[in-house]
Amino acid sequence: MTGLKSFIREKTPFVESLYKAWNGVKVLRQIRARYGRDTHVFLMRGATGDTYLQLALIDNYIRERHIGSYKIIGDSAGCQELGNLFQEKNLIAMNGYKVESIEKAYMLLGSRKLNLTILFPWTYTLYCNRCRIRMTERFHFMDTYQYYVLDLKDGMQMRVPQFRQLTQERLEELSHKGLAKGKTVIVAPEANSITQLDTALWNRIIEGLEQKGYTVIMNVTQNEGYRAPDYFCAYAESVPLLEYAGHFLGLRSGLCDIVSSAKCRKVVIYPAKTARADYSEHRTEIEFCGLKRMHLIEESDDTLTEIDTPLIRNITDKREALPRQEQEYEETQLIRKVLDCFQEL
Amino acid sequence: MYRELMQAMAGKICAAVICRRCKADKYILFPDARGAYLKWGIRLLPQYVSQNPSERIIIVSAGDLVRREMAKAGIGNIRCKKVSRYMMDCLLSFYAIQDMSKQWIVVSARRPYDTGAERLLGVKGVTFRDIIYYDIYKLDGELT
Repeated sequence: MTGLKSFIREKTPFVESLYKAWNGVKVLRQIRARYGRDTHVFLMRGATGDTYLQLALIDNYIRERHIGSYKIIGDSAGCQELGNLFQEKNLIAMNGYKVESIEKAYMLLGSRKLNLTILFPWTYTLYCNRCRIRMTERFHFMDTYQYYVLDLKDGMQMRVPQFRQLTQERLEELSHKGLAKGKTVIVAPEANSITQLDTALWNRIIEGLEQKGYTVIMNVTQNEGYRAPDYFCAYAESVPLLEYAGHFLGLRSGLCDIVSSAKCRKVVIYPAKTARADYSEHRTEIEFCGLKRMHLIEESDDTLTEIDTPLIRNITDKREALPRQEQEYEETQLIRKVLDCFQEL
Repeated sequence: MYRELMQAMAGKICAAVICRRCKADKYILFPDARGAYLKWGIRLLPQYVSQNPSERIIIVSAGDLVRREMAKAGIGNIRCKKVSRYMMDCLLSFYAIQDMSKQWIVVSARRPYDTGAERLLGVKGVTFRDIIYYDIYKLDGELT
């Protein structure tokens, strides 16, 4: 079979797509042969935040449509880990090729014939008339899921994730690393859908936090040039860890969705809204992706501060970087705004 | 399944023939020659043309209705290509298989597959006009 696939891949994209559509139907047939012919299949894609929200909201759809048996197919890196957060037993992790094959089958045959629901319909591979209305002013990101993806007109409830409490061993490890309870800031400088801030700028912020008496740790995949040490934070432990640390500072990323329920000081940085950005792919501004705007955090909750800055932008926004003088001004402003959120210890 | 695959292959041939004969930059397909898609597809067409003045456009439709409605709306400067209903199905199956979105605009949120946009109808004031304006013609100027 591998030989057949590579043979087809070498031929035209058209032939490969035909093969994918056929393969997608085959994969769905295999699932139904194993789990029952009436099994409804959900196709879950997207980065961390999307996967988290899809898992948190899918129950509404299942309940409203009286779906008895279902399976969720996912291909994102953290889907299994996020599935565990919601104790989701019906999750099947698959490789991207199989998932794209199912998408291709959907494009050719439609949802009804395949008994399939697409949970991430704005992915690049579903190229026909991708929805932009959902990104107009009247909507926010949660609306995208409520109205556009799940078609829930009468509100919805989110499943509560189950985080793993920190063990005594873990607490000792944290203490040993010098992470004082309530006096530590976990910094998350990485995000998929927006551009990053300079490491030098982060280091100036970290320095300011240290001067105020905080211990800073970085939640990064690779610690390249940060003046603070890094510490791996599993999703399952993220909220208890933040509640132990007491403070969170990060760019708006999927991690912010996951830790939104943490009872700690949270400072989240967003790209500033621009007059003519390209919203056909992404919007991450406060107006669209704000944690309060999305109702992930109560409007009255004063533990969250949301800051926007023109120093970062949506990855699809092709405008050039700010002129040097303006950049320096904005950097100073951002540092001041961030540090103002943290009291002197 | 095999019927749709065969249709996609026939659509590929048909698309190649149309492209060779018409040599346009953009092909606007009207698969649903009725109702709201026809109305707003034609009404917003001049706006699309004015935002993309350098494009040579061909309207592809199954039947004469689109051509007649365009004439009624006073749009006479865009050529139309009529295909059979079966050939339209083939073209759409081909589009489902191969990304032609740089060259083709399909004036429908239901075909070749359901994009889900119609689920937003009536929500916070969304209308068919919005679907055609934002999702299909991708007109900007209001999207901020």
